[in-house]
Amino acid sequence: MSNVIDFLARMGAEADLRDAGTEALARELAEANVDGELAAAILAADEDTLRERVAPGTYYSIQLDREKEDPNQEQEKEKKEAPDNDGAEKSALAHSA
Amino acid sequence: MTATTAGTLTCVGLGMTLGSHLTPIARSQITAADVVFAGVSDGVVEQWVRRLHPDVRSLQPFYAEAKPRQATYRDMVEAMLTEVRAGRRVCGVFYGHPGVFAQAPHEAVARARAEGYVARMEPGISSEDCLYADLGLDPGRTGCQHFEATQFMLYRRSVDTSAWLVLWQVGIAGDLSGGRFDTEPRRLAVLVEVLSRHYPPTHEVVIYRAATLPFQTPRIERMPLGSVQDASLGMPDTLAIPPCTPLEPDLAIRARLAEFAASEAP
Repeated sequence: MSNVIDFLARMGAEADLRDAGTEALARELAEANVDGELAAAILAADEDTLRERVAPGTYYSIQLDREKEDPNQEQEKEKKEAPDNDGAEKSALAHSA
Repeated sequence: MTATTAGTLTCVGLGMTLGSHLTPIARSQITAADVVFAGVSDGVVEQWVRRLHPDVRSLQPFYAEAKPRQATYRDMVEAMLTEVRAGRRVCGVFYGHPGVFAQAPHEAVARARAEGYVARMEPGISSEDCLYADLGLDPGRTGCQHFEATQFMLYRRSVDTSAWLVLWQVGIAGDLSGGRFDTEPRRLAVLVEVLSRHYPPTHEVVIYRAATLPFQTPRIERMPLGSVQDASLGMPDTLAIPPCTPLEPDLAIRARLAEFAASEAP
C-alpha cells in the first residue's frame, strides 16, 4: 500500500509524471510496483476505487462553523434604532425580554 | 506571557493536492514533531501524512453525524493541547491553509499562547489559491468578495456585483443545526433566492472543487444561477459568481485625481 502513496506523492511533485500520457504513466506505475488494481484506478482517474482500497470511509472536510450569535446584539440594535422619544421604553422592554 | 514549558504547537497547511503543495517549512515541522495530528479531507492524503511521521493521529474520529461541529472543533483543540501540556512538540496538519476556513488551528494556537506555550501557524496553499489558477481568475482585476455560504444567507451583506463573489462551504448551505454535512434543494433554493436579489437567474455561475489527488482534474461546472438548487454539491464544493455589472466610475474622485496629475505635469 505504501507504494501507491509514495507514487502519488512523486506524481504530485514531478512535472513530467504529472503531465505524463497513459502509456508513460503505466510504465512508471509498473516500475514502482504499484498494485495492479490501484494502478488501473490511477490510469482511469478513478478516485472512488482508489479511496475505497486505500482509505475507506467518510472523511469530513468542514472545519469552520459560523460565529455563534450574541443574543444581546439584536437588543442593542433595537436600542440604537429606537427614536429618542420612546428609546428608554424600548430599551427597558428589550432587557426584560 | 512568555513560554514556561517545552511544549510547542505548530499548525501547518498541506496545500490542496497530494505531493504538490507542501512547503519546505511545513514538511520540516511535520518530520521534526514528537506527535502529529492530521485534519485532512481525503483519506488518501491522510495516508500520505502517515508516511511522513510515525505517530500521526487523525482528527477525523472527532466528527460524527449530528454532533455539533463546534464540539468537534473543541475536541480537536483539546487533543492537540493535551500533548503540548505534556511537553511535546506538536504539529497540527490541516489540508489547504490552516488558517483559512479552519477553526481549530486558530483556536489551538491562541489557547496554547494564552497558556504560555510557543505556538505558530505556517500558511499553506488554500482552495482559494487553486481557484484563482484553475478558473483563470485574478482578484486584482475587478476585486473578489468571499463569504461563508450560510452566513451569507443569514445576514444582509453588501454585494458588489462588479466584483467576483465566492461562497465557501456551499455544500452545507443553510444548516442552522451546526451538525449537518450536506445540503438539499430546499436550502439551496433559499440561497438562490438571496443571490437573486443581486443577480439575474440566467447569470452563469461556477461550481468549483480543487483536486486533492494528482491525477484528478478540478471540478469546474458552469450553470445558470437558477439551476444551483438542483446541483449536486458536496462538502468540498465552492460557488464562484462572476461580475454581472461593469465597474462604476466615480467621476468626482477621478476629477480630483486628474487635478493632481495636471498640477504635477512638467
